[in-house]
Amino acid sequence: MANIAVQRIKRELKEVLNSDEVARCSIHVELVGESFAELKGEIAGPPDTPYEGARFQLEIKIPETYPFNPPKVRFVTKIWHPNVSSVTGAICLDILKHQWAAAMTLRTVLLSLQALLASPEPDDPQDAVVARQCKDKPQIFHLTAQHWANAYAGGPSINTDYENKIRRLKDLGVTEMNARASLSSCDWDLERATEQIFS
Amino acid sequence: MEDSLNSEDIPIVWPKQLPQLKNIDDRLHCPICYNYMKNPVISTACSHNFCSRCIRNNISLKNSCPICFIDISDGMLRPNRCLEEIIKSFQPVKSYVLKTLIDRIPTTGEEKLNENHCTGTTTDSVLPCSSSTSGSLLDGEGPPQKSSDLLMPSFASQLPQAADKSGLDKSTPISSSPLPAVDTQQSPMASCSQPRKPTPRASIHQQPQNTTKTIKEVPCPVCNTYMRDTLINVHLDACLEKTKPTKRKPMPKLIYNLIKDRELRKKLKDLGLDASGDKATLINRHKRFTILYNSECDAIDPRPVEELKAIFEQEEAESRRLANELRYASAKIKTNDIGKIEEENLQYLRNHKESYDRLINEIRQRPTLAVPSVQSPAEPTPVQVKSEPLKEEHNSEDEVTEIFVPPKVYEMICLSDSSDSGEPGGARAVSSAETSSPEGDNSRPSSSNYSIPDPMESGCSKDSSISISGQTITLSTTGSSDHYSTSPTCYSPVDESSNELFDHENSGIPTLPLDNTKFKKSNKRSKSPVSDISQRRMSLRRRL
Repeated sequence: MANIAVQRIKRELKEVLNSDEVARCSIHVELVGESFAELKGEIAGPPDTPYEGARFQLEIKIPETYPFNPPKVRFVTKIWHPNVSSVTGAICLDILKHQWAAAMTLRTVLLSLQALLASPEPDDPQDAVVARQCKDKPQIFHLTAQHWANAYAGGPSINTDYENKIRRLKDLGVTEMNARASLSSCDWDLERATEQIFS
Repeated sequence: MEDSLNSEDIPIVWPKQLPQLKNIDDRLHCPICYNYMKNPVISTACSHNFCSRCIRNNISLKNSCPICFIDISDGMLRPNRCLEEIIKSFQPVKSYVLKTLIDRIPTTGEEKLNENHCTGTTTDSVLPCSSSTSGSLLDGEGPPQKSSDLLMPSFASQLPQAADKSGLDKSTPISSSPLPAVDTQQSPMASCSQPRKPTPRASIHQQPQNTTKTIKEVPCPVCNTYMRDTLINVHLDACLEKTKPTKRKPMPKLIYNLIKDRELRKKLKDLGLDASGDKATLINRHKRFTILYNSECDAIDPRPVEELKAIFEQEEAESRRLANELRYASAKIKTNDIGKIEEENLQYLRNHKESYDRLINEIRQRPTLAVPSVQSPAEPTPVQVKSEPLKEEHNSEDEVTEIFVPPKVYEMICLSDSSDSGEPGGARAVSSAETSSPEGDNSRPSSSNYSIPDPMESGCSKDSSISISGQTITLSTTGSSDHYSTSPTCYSPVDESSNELFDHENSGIPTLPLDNTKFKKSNKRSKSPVSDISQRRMSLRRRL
């Protein structure tokens, strides 16, 4: 790693750890390994969103050319969000691409991601299925996102209806993860989901 | 921008009661590298300040301000001398200020802290502050005062330079009278040097005036400072030396697409840099050196080019080392993912080189008659033994072993063949094969000839394999448990050219090529066996 990148990361880590957000436990960053090339981030689901109360793990990879190029950030925790791939966790956020500026920091990135969770952009989607649901059936989207947050990120609200549907698919020999993904993409229509899985 | 000194300043935490102080400190840091700005430049488009080198690096990648995204270019950058002075003066006293602050916070309270804070911001606010608050506080801050005193000579020499740059020096030649000189000194002072306390500065302003009366002083024609005439020559030399590099012109940015490799190489050579590598490397090198050089042009006293070159080469070496490390690491990952088989293959080859060599020798020592028959069983049998048992029984084993089976089975067959030349192990195998042959006469016609479930046959194959090496044992035993494994034993008796066996073999052969063609798909080596079989058949017939 270039010297400048390492120095930046060192400073930014200090900045994040001293920030108010860490004090409020809304974001967290820690190093992965000896080098400063990879970090592990964590953001709390913002209040008044389906993600409230959940905590999402992020994988942050610092490129050699940092801070002139953006860090590569990905959700490790599965999340149901129009701008995050429900399969890979890839994020669609302008500041992580062309709108990156050298003056931005890990802290601003994490806060931006939190803001993204609070205000999804279904018109500029990463996951088309989620985006369509978010636009057409906001109610179901809300419940699904809440359910995913509960299942993968320790969210508080449990949706027994959804749980039951997943269990029924599991009884058919489908893994829980597949069952949840299929049901979510089929707006929790059990028949359609079954068809999707077994076709 | 990569001072180790600066990085040590990182842990300093300003008191929470004074967020302004932290803000000031933050403002002195480059938003790109996060260190105290080195050769700070201001973007004339948006008034944001950066390290010269950082922003030039940024512009080389993206023509916009990292903070406000406004379009900027190299031409819009101007050195921010004022900020430079602030940083220069603030850095050495920072830890002291902080320490005093932390010590005083519980005792003195907000008022004095505010005063302290004021000294950091502007002279306008400093003046009333210092007058209103107790002098004891200022007295208490002895070291900052001292340091500012120490700094004064450099102020005196540097500020007029700034004035020179801004074209204020037009009035300076008339420096016979002290007054205009004071004017020129004052004007930059007022605009540029806010960071220090006003009291020492005021005293210094008076100093030249006072001293001119008492001691005979002459102004330096370069920097306009007054000093004793005995010192002027020494000072002038130093002053000229110092001012000379400021005239350094920035290197022009090249349009690399229009430049040929040769020209670029020449340019690099002229600069005294490494001129090796492909065009992309050359361009990158030239670009980065231009950035370093140009950023140094923003300094008050740019470092000599030689020093820059040394720094640049050091950085190059470092990045090369990192790149190598990266490449090595990625290559390592690759072998784990893809090259695993290759690796294991090599490992196997190395481990079993001895047995291969031995077998090669044995074959060479063999009488010429046996040679054609050696080749023939060697090829078709491996195909069967290898592809079938391994695929069916050893799914867990990866391709490595599969690829290497042919030589092993080859070994096995060779040894059983080599009984001709009186090998003890091989002879045993052959004898068992021979004993089994009469039974084979009975059993073979009844069963399809490649799936003889003859226990003696399989025993034979085991036998022969034991006599060779540990490696073949595993393989042939797995093979023997499978019905296809009978095929090697089917062949070995034939090699002994026993007549009855040959008849059987002959009748069985038509199906064998079919078998082989089936495996052809799975094994590229099986290409030869078909022709080998016919060859072998021919040779056997001839012998008959």
